[in-house]
Amino acid sequence: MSAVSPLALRAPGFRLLRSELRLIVGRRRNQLGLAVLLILPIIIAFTVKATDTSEGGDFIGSISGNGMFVALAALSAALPLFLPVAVSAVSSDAIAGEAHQGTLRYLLTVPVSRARLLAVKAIAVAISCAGVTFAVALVGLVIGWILFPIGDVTLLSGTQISQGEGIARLVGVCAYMTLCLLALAAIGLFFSTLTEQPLGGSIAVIILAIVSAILNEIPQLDWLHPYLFVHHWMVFGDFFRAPVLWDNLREGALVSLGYIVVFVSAAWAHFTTKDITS
Amino acid sequence: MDIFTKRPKLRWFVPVVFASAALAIPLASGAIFADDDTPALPKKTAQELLTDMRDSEVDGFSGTLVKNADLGLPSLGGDADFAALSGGTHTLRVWSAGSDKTRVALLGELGESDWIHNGKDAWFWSSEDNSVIHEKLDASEQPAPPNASHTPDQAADEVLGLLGPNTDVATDGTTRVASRDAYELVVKPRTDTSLIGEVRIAIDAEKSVPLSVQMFTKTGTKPAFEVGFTHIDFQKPGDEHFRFTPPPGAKVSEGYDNAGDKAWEDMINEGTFVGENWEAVWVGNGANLDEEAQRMIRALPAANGEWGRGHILESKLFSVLITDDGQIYVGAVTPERLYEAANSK
Repeated sequence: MSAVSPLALRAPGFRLLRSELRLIVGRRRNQLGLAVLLILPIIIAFTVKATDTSEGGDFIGSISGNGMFVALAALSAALPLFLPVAVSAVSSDAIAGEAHQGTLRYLLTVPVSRARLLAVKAIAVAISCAGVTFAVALVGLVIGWILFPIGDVTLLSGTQISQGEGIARLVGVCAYMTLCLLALAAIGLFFSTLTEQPLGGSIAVIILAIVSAILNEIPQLDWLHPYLFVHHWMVFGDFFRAPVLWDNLREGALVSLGYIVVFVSAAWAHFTTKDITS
Repeated sequence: MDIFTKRPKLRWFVPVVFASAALAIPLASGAIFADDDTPALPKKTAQELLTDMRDSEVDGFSGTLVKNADLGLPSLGGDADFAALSGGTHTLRVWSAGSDKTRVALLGELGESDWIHNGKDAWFWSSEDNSVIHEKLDASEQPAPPNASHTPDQAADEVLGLLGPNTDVATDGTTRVASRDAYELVVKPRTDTSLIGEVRIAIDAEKSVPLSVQMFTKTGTKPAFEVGFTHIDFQKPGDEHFRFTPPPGAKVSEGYDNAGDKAWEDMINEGTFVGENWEAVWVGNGANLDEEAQRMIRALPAANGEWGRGHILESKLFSVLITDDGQIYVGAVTPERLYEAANSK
């Protein structure tokens, strides 16, 4: 038996992943969506600069004290709708996009198992989710530091931490948001295996997100709230309390992981057993 | 050859099993602090519990607590505003290390209001307004947080202050609050005019401090008001939790400077009580209320009787009568009791 290096074994997977990412980034639709998302922190920064705001919720009031808050204000503005729309578009395109273009059956002739193909698609979607979240934060950080001071960070609790620790907490926020968005992406991936219309899947994901957000506002359904994937999204602000309040973040991460495991496995169960006709 | 290759449709079992396992994990909606457990604890009488509670000594604690108010009144203010505590569900974090070190943080979505008492200084911080109010205190002065009865401890104190001959006090088994074993004490007013049906106080089995207080009306099955810990740690919190320096850029003002609040405070201090304990009615003079308050009063249902004419506000836990000649009657009692108090004036 000839010795095969583990790297060579995984190489086709890497090549697949690379081409998958190139596909996502190359889509004109995705480029436009990303541009809109990246303009958001810039708009927020210039608006605050022009109006000289030093109060207001949702981190807007903190911007004039430290430019880093542009990143947080942009993320909290993008989280309810813009980010879910972006995630739904990319995730529901994963399988349904290939089916729609008629390339899925050719892709399946590649000597790679369907499970592995799905895994590569899922990883590419996950990288996109993280990428878009961190990109919004990064643009916010850069524009914020250009227009506003750099220095100690005032927390929601009124106490201050160093700029370095502030960045660490911002990274925590991005990681948490990515996990929340991955729950939505997992649902999108599952829908993507069900349909040949990527747009249909994407609309279904957005409707699901909106319905969850509405249900989350109805007090009579409070027993249901903790199980809704949107319920814990806004608690990312708990990273900016003194000390960090982990309770809700932990529960939010747990709920997101639950959605990811259930829907990725459902996507696997369906995609590996269905008849591919297009 | 594994079973999934032989019978591919069985693969659907995987997500179904994951989904059922996920749903089996109980999630607290944040608003619930007690669970249905009834731990086995050595029996204690109500009197023993009251004595234990009075003698309990705790150097300090920190924790998270939830307050639910369902008084049948519209909610006021934003969720990180202390004024909003009159209605809805709120989460607070508290740190306490002795009588001169307290911090209470009211958590809002992406906002927070903090009240910090450290020795001779009291600070009030609002993230929404980016403002700080500072008060210098005398050594003996014990400042009250912006809204009374914040912790189960303070709420229990107020309830136990009402104990009198027309009260039943009993134990009612055990419960678990904030993942700690607790005794449950039930306080029941024995009077027809009180709106309060019963008050349940959960008392920590080990430390003998109140962990939750729930007030029920005579008719309701859900508490009209409750406050309880979802998490508590009896370790004395470190000094860093009580240190506060106004952050740069914040508006800092010295002392409360709000003429409106002052007028309210004067009015409350000048009032008197009619009746005792559960039937007590506070009587004050509201002739100097501002135009906005007057407008709100005129919007309330009208009432009249031997005492004259006025307006009545009814909620699940308290009633308010404002007569046209400017007298205000407030109590955790039925409107009839207020009319009686107004008649005897």
